[in-house]
Amino acid sequence: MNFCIAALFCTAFLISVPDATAGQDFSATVATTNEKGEPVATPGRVLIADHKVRLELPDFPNAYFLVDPPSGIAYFVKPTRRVFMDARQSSALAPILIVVDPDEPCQQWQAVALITGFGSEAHSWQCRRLELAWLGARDTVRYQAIAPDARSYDVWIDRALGFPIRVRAVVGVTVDITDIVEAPQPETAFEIPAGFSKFDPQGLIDRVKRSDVWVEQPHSQ
Amino acid sequence: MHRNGAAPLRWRLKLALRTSAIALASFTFVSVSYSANTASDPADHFKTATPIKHVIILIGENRGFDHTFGVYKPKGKKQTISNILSKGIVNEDGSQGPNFAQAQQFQVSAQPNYYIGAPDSSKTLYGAGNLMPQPNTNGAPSAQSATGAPFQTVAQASVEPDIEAENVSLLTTGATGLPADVLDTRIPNAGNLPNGPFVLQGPDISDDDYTGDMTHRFYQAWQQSDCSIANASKTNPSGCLNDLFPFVMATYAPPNFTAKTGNFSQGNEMGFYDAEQEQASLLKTLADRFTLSDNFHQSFQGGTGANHFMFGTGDAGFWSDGNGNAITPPSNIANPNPKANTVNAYTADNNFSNCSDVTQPGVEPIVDYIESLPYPAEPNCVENHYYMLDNTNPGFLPNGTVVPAVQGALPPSPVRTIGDGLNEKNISWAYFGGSFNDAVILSNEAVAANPANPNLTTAALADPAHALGVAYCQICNPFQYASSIMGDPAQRAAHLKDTSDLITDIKANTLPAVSVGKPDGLLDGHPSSSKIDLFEAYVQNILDALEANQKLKAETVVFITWDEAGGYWDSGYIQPLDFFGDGPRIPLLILSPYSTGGMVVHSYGDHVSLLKFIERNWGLQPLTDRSRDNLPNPTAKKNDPYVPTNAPALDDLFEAFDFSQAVNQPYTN
Repeated sequence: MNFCIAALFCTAFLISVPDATAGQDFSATVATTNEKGEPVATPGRVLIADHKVRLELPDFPNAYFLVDPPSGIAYFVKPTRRVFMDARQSSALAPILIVVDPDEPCQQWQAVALITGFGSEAHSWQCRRLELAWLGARDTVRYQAIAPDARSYDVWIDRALGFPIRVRAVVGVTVDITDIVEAPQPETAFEIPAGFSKFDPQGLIDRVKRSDVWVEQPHSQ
Repeated sequence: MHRNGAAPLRWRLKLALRTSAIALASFTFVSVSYSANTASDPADHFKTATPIKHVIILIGENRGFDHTFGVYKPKGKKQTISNILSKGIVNEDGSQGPNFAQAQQFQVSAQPNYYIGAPDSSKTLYGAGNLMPQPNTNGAPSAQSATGAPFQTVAQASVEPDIEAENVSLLTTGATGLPADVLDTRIPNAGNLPNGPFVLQGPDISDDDYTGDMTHRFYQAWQQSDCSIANASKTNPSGCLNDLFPFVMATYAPPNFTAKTGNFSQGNEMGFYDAEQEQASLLKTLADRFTLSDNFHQSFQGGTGANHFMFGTGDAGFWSDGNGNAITPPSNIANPNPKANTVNAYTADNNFSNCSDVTQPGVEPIVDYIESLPYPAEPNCVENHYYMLDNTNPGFLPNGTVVPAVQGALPPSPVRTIGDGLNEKNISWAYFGGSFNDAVILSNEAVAANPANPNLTTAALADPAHALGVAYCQICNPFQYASSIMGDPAQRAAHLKDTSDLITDIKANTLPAVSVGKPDGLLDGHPSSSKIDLFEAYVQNILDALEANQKLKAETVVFITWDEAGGYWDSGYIQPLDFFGDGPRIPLLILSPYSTGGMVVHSYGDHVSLLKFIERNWGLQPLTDRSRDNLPNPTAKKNDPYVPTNAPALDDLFEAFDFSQAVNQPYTN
């Protein structure tokens, strides 16, 4: 997909979001287990409201991701520091746990990949539909999904919610969305609190380059 | 100029000073015991020669002794100090003293080859009509920024986690308000400063301001020290005059260099703070209450990487094939000989020299000088070894990935470290680097994105949540060079940690026996990229954690020192030990229940003295048969404690303690 097509695709996506998921607001637990089914981290939490996602992951204590694909936004928020920043590639999970079309999830994943810098004209999500499957009482469709960085995942998408409820990485780690409670979510959970500042790393890098921390690669003689 | 910064730290310190009388009255005298405490501190199980069960070494960046403590009067009874105030070079208010001329600086006429120890006939004093190069804003930030220090708001500055919330505002203050690389008019009388040191204090400048940086590299530093046996005297047997500091800065780089790649630092070398006027007030408070060395030196002439390497190994790093065999580096070989038709512009200002070969550019003047010393110093250069003289990244990324050769990093090093020595005795240790955890994540991302040429800056731009990882100092971690540590995932996991882990370990009573703490680039105190009060805030954060764990504090010594003087001029004696150093004095503060009372110790030491302290306390042998920790403790004449009579010699710092009596002195509260 060249850049122009990708851009058109994004624009189309921004205008048109999957109807099947409209109004499916919910909250749930994010549980991570190893190959033996043993928990490998304290559970996280996810909130969904009108395609907006708030994701709290154990790797990022006292912080959360806000992903709003229709608005082209993916932020990482640190309330204790009163800052937020572009989420970019901070988490492999944040760009996957979004509302998708169960029949064509790669469209939405690729759109978020472009927002977060995970994808590009040359590197896009690839999806292969595998099977319909029940996870407990939930009706899912299972995909093999290959991310732009070539990492492969098996993803079970809840057909009613239009949301991945199981993501299994090749290395054996599985993330399950459990304890789903369908209910309206508070709007404030998806907003950047007033007074928070946006952090951009470029200035930090420029300042660090003035210190001894930074070592230029050797110049030739 | 608006100057609203530093209030939190300053308020605390002023309060601390006001309450010090109360604190002094509440000293607790503890009976001496070398046996282990009964609680579950794992370090208590290691046998030690003293009651000290934990060493914490905190290393700032680029501050010299006279620069920091030049105007300081010891608080302990009958204590003396050697500094520019005691020598009468300056007065207590920072103005010129009666012996100001002792610090005067010279320029040198063009010479055919690189030299240290300029011929007398080539030297001319700076003076009227021939002003000493004046200080400038080299590298210091002009204004606040939304994205880098000094930040516009405390919220923006809060990306830095390693200082207490009340001190985060220090990251928003201190911009110069001046263009880049111009005369620093904040300094009183700038543009007309006389030939000698000047105080960094006035209505528009203090220790809360970013100031211009200066080059601090190996061949430049030797040249600045102006060492010649022809200059030797009884009190200065090494003959180092320290009188070419601004001259070398103003001349070693060709005029078409940009400030970023070359040097326009001019006269910044001669700036100093006035501790008696409450500059660097936390450091002063600690000196008032504990012990200060006025004869502690950077171990390597030049910069950060080589000094930290010497601190970790007692030796210099060299270029190898990655398997321990010395080979010639493909590039980056130094040639400090002057370019044609220049006064002193180096031909190739590079990082490596084979100092066993006196035909190599720059080598012979230093080797000849070392061999001429009136004591048995040797260059200590092994045949065909190209030694790392200036900053070169380690051959491992923070996550343990071997750096591809294209990046010019020092190949994985076989040089034995203090970590190896401690490992062999199963004594716990860790290096706590500011922003290390973020640096590991950036390394993982950079390698995944481009294994052939991983780029942490690109990774930081792609991952703002971990961008602070670029501020982790790779060249400051001597263990990151070592194959024995970095090549073993278990070793990395056990010994390489973040500042946050240091705080956690202090609180949880899991502090290793030996800990090294290094702040990230925002807090390390380096001129132009940081400030001295930010390093104080980093120190305060750690000391406050330790203060809250009295049991741990009672058996811990905290050494606070710097990697090097950063190019700042110093008036102290230098004892050259080998081709690589020593260099100028840097401060060393010694905080423990056994080193209280505002004492000043004078025995000659350098970074390797810290190794010697560890080795003696925990019963280790010198690291190798060529490392500097083999040197004896100094002996000295009573009337001149600064010059070892058995040179070359390095103190193991034991004399800085009185282990017969423990005094629970509060750090700052």
